[in-house]
Amino acid sequence: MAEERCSGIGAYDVVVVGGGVTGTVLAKVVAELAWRDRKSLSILILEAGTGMVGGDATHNAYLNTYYGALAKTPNAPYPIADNAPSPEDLAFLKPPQDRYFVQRGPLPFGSNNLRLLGGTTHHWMGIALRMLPSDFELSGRHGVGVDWPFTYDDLKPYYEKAEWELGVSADSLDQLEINGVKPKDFGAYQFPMHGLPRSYLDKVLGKGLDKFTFKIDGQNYPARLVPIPQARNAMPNPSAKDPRDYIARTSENERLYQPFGAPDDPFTGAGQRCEGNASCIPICPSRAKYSALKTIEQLKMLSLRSGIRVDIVTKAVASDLELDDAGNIAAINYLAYDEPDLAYATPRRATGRWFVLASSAIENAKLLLASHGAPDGEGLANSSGRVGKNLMDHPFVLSWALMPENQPVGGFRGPGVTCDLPMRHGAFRSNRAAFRTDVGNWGWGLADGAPYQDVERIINPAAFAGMALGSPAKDLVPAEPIFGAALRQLIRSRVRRQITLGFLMEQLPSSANRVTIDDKHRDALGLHKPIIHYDIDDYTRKGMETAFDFATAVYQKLGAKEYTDPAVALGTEVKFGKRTFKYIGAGHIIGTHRMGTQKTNSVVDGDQRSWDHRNLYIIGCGSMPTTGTSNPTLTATALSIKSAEHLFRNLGLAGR
Amino acid sequence: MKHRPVQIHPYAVPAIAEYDKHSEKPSELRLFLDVSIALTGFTEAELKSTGLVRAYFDEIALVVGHAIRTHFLQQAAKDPGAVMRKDSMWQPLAQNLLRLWYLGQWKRMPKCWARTHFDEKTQHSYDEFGRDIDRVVSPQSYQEGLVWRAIGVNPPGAKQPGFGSWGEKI
Repeated sequence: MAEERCSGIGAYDVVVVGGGVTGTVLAKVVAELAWRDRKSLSILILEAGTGMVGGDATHNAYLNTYYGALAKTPNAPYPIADNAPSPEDLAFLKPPQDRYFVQRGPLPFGSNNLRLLGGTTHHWMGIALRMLPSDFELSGRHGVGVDWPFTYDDLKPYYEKAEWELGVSADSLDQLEINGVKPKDFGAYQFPMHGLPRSYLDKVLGKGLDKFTFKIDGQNYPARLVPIPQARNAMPNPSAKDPRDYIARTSENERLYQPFGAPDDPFTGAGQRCEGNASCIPICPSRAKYSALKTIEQLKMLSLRSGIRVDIVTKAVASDLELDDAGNIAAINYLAYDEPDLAYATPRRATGRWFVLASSAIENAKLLLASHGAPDGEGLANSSGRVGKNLMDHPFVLSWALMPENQPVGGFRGPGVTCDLPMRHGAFRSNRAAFRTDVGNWGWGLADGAPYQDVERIINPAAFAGMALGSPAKDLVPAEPIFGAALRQLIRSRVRRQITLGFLMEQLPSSANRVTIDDKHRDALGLHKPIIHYDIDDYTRKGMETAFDFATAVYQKLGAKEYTDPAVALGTEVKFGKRTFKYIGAGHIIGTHRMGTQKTNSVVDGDQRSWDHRNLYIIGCGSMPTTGTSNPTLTATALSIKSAEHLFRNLGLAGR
Repeated sequence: MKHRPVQIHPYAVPAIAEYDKHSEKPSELRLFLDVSIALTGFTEAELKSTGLVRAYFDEIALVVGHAIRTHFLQQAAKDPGAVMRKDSMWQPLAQNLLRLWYLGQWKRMPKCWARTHFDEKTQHSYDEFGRDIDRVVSPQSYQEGLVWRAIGVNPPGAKQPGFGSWGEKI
């Protein structure tokens, strides 16, 4: 398998743009099917960023960069090529013309991705929960948004396969009815690994919130802690049977789950469990967390054993798609560069029979819009006029509080989140956004820069003297600097009592929230920068108000003192009536090439196949018609597997 | 502060000993340790186990110069509380000493701090290497930040505590 540049880029059966989770899982499933059915196959994966597979040396270099970074942001550990820029974590520190996203407002789009082999799964949190049945029928059930072209039950088998592909740890018995799915709905299916242990914080909160309910629109909703399924190695479930029918097997024993740990490492490669490093974002040192590097490694092993050709070419930035006379895709043109930061590249052309765009929602849209060949200049795959439109996120808002003196809960222990406090479905969704809750295991880390800010407040109180009189954090600032044993003790008692509830807000599709391009805005290689129009409507803002009221009710019930303060919170202000909130991006880039039932209302069909160019699949979170409240990677992976099976049926491969 | 005289083997003298081998007077490194113990609230063994005593001792001189470091350590050794008070000219440096130990970070000193407080002769070597900026001193200094020990947890991303440790009572 070549990781170097191929000079002759001949006709492949499948050409995939993007070496992240959706593209590599699709490639793997197609390759598994070809191996199972004894077909010959060739796949090319083009990756815009740099990167190499596995390698402890590379991983350790990322880790060291993370240790040494002042701002430990999602992309901080990773090398980012000037020639394939990623959206900056701290874009506001740069002058607007130097930023990758051109933000046209009225609000900034807060999420970003990582252009590097393995993609954004390098820095994702690893939360892998399904969408709810009601999320697929938002319009039908609640009269807002749109419906998906299929139901939850249609996607369910692919969710099961995706959970085995990513390695998800959860117990179906824990998935309560509160999430709209009853344990018995899972049937005989079992997750490949048992759920991760709940954090001590979860246990304290679970006890404190016993029988607690919260009222929305006059209806009581139980506030219960529900363990979150995570793509993170835990204890394998020995009675679970692999549902992936695309894998060739010689015996029933092979249906047992084999955890996959560090790629390329013979010592930890056997499948290390989560070791509680407390740094899932931005980097999992033990590599218990799924990253697409694992799929790439499995693809490499499959290629070696089967003779299926899989070429991965990095430093190859797709620039546009070429059409043949019949209106199908004939080739993908790309720019091949040698030096990540030297703006010099050679134009190349990759040909094939089938093409897959898997370069994340914003990049997919940009690539289609930048492709010439369509007579009206509107880009490709765009007869519906919807390419780039309906950009969504889960605007993420934070609330925080201190538990009483005698009740430490932890702080900075374990995976970022182990339990959810869901308000994910109910009649209220007709007028306001649903949300799910990150019950944060890392103190006020995200909310208030803990523990750095705690140290600053205590050793340098003068710097906080200007704090507005109404600020709740005023009582945390001493009159004189504190040092010595008192400092040590105060940090200990304070940080261990910090709790943060972070809310991932549902967002409705809107054609006004969109990605466009403009010839005036180009990156180092002269390719278009994404231009983004984005706003948050009152449906989501009203949901935010409910979420903050919910947080306050939870803190009161727990006897915790709330410190939520939009003045110091991270992010951008939004107003709702007299209330002010601050949101940040959740890193969930959704929409831009919506799936639908018809050519007129959508860019792709229910198999993520372009309506306009029938040898093209456009895959990933961009295909999702609505956001629901689930972190979208698992759903995108399930969709990839669905598309892969569909693509394989269309491939018409020759036997070997 | 009292100093216990110690016998140092003549062939095992480190580059800077904690005590002068002839007079048994504490060296500047020893003063640095004593000041660090008083300001951080951590014991000598805890500080030494970070492996960073010498690195932080050097770091201060690399930024403010040797003369100012000497001044500072002498003042702080007399009364560690005095250098932390908000009206003390030494406060920014004492705070940075705490940031080094607790966070592994250096924060830029107040503008013109050296020029305001020191004469030409003392300040001429101030920040000759351009290190007076906000930064993490080194990957190791992040991992050894005392703030994590104070809380009783591992520094995120290092020194992994093990599967399920997060579920145990604290």
